[in-house]
Amino acid sequence: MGWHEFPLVVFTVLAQCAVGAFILLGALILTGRLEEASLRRLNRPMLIIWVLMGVAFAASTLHLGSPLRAPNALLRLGGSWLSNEIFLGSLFFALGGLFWLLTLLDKVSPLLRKVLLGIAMLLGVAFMYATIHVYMIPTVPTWNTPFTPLGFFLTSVMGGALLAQLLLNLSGQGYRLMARLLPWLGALAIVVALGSSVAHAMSLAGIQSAIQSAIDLVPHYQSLLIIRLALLAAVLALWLFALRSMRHQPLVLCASFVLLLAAEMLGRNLFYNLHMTAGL
Amino acid sequence: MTQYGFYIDSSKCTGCKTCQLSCKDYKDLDVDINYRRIYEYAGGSWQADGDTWQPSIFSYYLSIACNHCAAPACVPVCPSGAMHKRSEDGLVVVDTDTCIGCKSCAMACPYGAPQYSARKGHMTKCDGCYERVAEGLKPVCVESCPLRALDFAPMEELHERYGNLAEVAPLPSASLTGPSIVIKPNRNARPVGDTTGSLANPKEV
Amino acid sequence: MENESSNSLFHKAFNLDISRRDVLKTGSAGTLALAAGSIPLPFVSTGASAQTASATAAEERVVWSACTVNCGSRCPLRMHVRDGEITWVETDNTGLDEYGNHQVRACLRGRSMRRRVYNPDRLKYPMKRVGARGEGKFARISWDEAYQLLADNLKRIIAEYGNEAVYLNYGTGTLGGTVTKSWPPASSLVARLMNLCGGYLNHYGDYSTAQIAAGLNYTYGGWAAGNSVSDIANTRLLVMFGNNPAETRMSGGGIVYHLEEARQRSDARMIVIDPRYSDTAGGREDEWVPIRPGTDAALVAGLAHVLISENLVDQPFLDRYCVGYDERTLPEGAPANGHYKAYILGDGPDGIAKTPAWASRITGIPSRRIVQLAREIGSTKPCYIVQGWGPQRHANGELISRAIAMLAILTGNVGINGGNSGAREGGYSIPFERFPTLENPVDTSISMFTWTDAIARGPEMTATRDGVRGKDKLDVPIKFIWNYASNCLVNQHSEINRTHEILSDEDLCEMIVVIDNHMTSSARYADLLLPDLTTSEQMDFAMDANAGNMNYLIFADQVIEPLFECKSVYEMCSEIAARMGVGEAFTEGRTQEEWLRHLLAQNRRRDPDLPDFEAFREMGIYKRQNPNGFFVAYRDFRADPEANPLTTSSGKIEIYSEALAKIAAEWELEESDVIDPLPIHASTFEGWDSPDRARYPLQLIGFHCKSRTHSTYGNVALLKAAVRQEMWINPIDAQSRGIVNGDSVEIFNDRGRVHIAAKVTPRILPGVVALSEGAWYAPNRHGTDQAGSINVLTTQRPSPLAKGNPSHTNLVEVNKA
Ligand code: SF4
Repeated sequence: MGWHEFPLVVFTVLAQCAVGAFILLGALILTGRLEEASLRRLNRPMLIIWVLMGVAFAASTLHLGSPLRAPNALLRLGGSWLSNEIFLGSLFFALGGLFWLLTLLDKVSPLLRKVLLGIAMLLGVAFMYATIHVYMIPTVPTWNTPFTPLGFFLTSVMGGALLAQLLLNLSGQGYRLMARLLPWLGALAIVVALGSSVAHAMSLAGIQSAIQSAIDLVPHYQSLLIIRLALLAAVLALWLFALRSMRHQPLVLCASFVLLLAAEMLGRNLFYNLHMTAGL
Repeated sequence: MTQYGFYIDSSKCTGCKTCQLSCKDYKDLDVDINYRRIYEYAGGSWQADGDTWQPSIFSYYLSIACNHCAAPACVPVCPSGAMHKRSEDGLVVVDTDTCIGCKSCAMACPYGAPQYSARKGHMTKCDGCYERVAEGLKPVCVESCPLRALDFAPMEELHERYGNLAEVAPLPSASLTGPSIVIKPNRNARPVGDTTGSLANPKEV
Repeated sequence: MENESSNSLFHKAFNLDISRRDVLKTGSAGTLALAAGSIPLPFVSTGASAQTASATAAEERVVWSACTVNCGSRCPLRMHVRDGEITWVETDNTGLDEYGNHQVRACLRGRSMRRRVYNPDRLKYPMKRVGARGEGKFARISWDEAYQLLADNLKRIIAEYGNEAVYLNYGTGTLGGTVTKSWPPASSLVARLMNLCGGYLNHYGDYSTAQIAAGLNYTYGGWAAGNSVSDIANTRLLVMFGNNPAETRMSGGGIVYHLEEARQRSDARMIVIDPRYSDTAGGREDEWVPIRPGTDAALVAGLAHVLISENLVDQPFLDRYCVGYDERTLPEGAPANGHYKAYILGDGPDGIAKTPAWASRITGIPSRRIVQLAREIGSTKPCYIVQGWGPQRHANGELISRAIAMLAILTGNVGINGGNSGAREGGYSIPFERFPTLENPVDTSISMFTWTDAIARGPEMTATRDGVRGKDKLDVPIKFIWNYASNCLVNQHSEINRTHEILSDEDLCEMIVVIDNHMTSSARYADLLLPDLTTSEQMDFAMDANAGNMNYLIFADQVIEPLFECKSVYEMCSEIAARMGVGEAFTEGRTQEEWLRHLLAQNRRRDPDLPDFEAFREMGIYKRQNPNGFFVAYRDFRADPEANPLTTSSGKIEIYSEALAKIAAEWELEESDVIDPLPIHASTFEGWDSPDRARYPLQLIGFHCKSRTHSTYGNVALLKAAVRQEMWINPIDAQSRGIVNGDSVEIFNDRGRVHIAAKVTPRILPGVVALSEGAWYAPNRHGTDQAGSINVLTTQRPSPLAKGNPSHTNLVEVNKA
């Protein structure tokens, strides 16, 4: 298995986790009637989301042959899903980041900030939608399947929920209803991920061109998949363990999140290695 | 718009690769970039009968560059617009001044036409020698073919002269991108969708 | 424009510093311009680059040159030059390209000439060896030192051992030139030089055709002619024995092109008999008959059995034109039942009827197919039966070449349109007198294949055991080797490890002079290394193509200035001649260009249709149709055999050869070597039925790699990648050894080991593996070749009659490496 698309692996996985967490926490902020102090306490560690986004975008430029020309990537906005993805992602990054900054500095009215937050959340959804479409290429039979949107969505849900959990606990708000619901959401997503991965692996058997069979694309695909699924199971175990024992909670959650990144990056790398076209 | 395209006579093609090398010389390409690729598709089996052998095997070559498709897979995915279809001749060309090297076109193209040059930092591919074409010449590969197995002309002309076949194994279905090619199949040719053979020269394409 | 400008081969190859070399300043501008001119940018809106393009377009020159290698074709190249650097290579683009007056289009190799000229392996200045032989350690010396060193040694060796100790090694690196040709060595400038200095040890035969040349000499007398390939337009059935022009005659004005054009006209059925499903077949054949290597004579015997027993032979032809078919024409001295018919029907000394069933077991071809094939051949007239040179490059190749011709003889297809002699296809050539190389005062001659023996045990070599000609035995071993444009010193000679051993002993051969363009594996064994010009760097006329009915001459002009300190072979030989005291006699006061003008003028006196020098230079390629239409071999003989006898001793086609009967009786042969007056099938050492197959179960044959001409072009990276060096193996043999396509494998026998990738392909007969000849020998520390050089595995044991190279008679085993 090659790692030649590693920049894209990093980009998509981190961005999906960041967007997922942002939307979950945003929903809490919008609906949870957080008092000012809690909001500010929560806002501070949300920096992590923007760090992840920053790393993601930095990684994405490594994928380019001519990084200095990166702005050209926007030239076909509206026409190319990659342009759309980059545009929406950047806008999400900018507006979400602005919301975070304004909250940090306590500038402009809370209402205006909430409007900004809502827009950023919608942009996050649109960003994720665009990412999916980048890979739904009709000539790439291994990507152009429902497993692609499902897989991307699940990364957002699993990663987002765990990251949101971590941020809530870091800001001492682990008691909130959402924080108590997140493990359930995560567990559900992980179970779906387990099931869909197996279904996906089985579906590969039916994909072949004259010169390529999807099942031959990645040597040891099954073993690698099992490693990923085992990692996901470990993520869930650590997550639940962290919530039970109160000591070192953030640390254990952190470890769990790192494992989750590892699992998803492995999975995403498998995804990129499954690239083949309908032809040559 | 005139749509130019290639005629590929696989019945004549001996897989000599002169088209590939004349292109590499003219376009000054590096070792790993092949604007034209020659696919060897082979298969079949042998039956032993006492001391003797009876083959039922096949093999043939297909010389494929860029097919300058009617509905190119590479163009819509390009985020910079560098990959574009020229209105004057229908040739699909990458503007190497604009291209950011994101390789999306390479991922999408089912013919392996766009290729990334690490040295140049951008995508490269067959441009149909549109400058030569504008001067009334044919692309370098076409004029180089020792067997006269390649041609290049407006598609209407090619269709009139050579028919309409644009797909045989191991090519993808022509319905995907509408390749601007006409193929004369080799006698051994297998239909599109065939999986009884295999690509015999994966490291040469 | 990005990095386009750095993409100059010249820069890449030699890694030179722009600021220090003027030539490179211009070179760099040239490539920039090339980038602007030929790889323009679609949206270049900037007027600047458009201007650059048009401004520099004016500076581009196109100069005619040629590809002068030993591929059997010959192609014109149109070199595009800017600022003294070749920017790209075009080929014949003249005329409307109608068959008959078609373009002569270079193949992939010729189109890559630029990368051969500007190759990092180029020899740059004269060098003398400082390490052990073959170690590849050299020190740069001046031309003066080089000439002096050479002349001193030559004089010393001639004085000490005589001229017969000086040998001109076979070499075909520069072919078809007028001044520069390296083959035949006796027609090279080195021969002219040596002839002025008392002569040298001759050789006969060549690595391509040793056995067929010797074999068919007894059938037809001299070099057996074949009908023009164009004549396939007039046939109804084409039977190809190991003939594979798609991989051996690749020019777009050469045999493969003629074959396809001619077949389009005649729609003749084509039967390809070959262990490999060659590119000549490739869906163009009507039938492919895979055959075990080295058994073609058995197939022919089986076919003959059907032809004879079903009365499909041309009895009147056999009676009138041939000797030894049956008792009617059997020469007097021959034993009773020594005729061909008796041999086939089982009435000969072996008592075995050569039935299809008998042939089937040997050839691996089902008898049913042999019967069908015989009936088809016997009942289709005319039938063009032709053999390539693969079948004869075997330990029993003389017999095989004669046996295949038998098929044409039995069916009376000799001397008629659409038929053939059973030899390789012929064609038309424009007569052209070359550089006179004078007479060799020495008569003695050895087979070109036995030079290593002549070094190691020269004085032991005799006429009847080793095929020494012109003398009963050699008197002196080879002490001085001229190796001009030749990789036969190591790479292209069999059994590299033995050659290495012999050459390593500096007491045996005392001086090896290599004149070449690149650091070949042979060049590494030089004592003195002289850097030659490529065809692009000097002026010559190029010719000698196999080209059917349309032949041509090429004006190969000087395209660029000589690179580095390289010099032309003409200048080298002139300088050495001067030091040998024959300078004036060698040059006759002419420069290379003056010689060319002189030779053309002389030829024009004989053939006024030839263009004059300036016109020729301008047109680049001068084409001419055979004024007599299709060349038909032995047409006159067929018309009137009494008036136009062959040069055989009987004047007829000798099926039974008395001369061979005599040789068979007199020569000392090694065990299992067979010389026979009839074209019989004989088993050989390392054949399909050899007991050695217990240890080495696979037959290994060579073939021609499309990205090389033998070893020439073998160092061009683009070509190496385009057609990879691989060992072909059938999936059945691969599977039993756990080998999958692309795996690295070890091929080995008692003579050596080779590591290379496997091409697992159904396109080869089970039990046979094939490795294309010519890859540049690259041993690792343990002496295992890493390049796929077949001659690590071939033997120096010569064939019985020709004393030629049995390159395709090898047994090996293959393992996953
Ligand atoms: S190698 Fe032979 S066929 Fe190819 S270009 Fe040279 S002369 Fe022509």
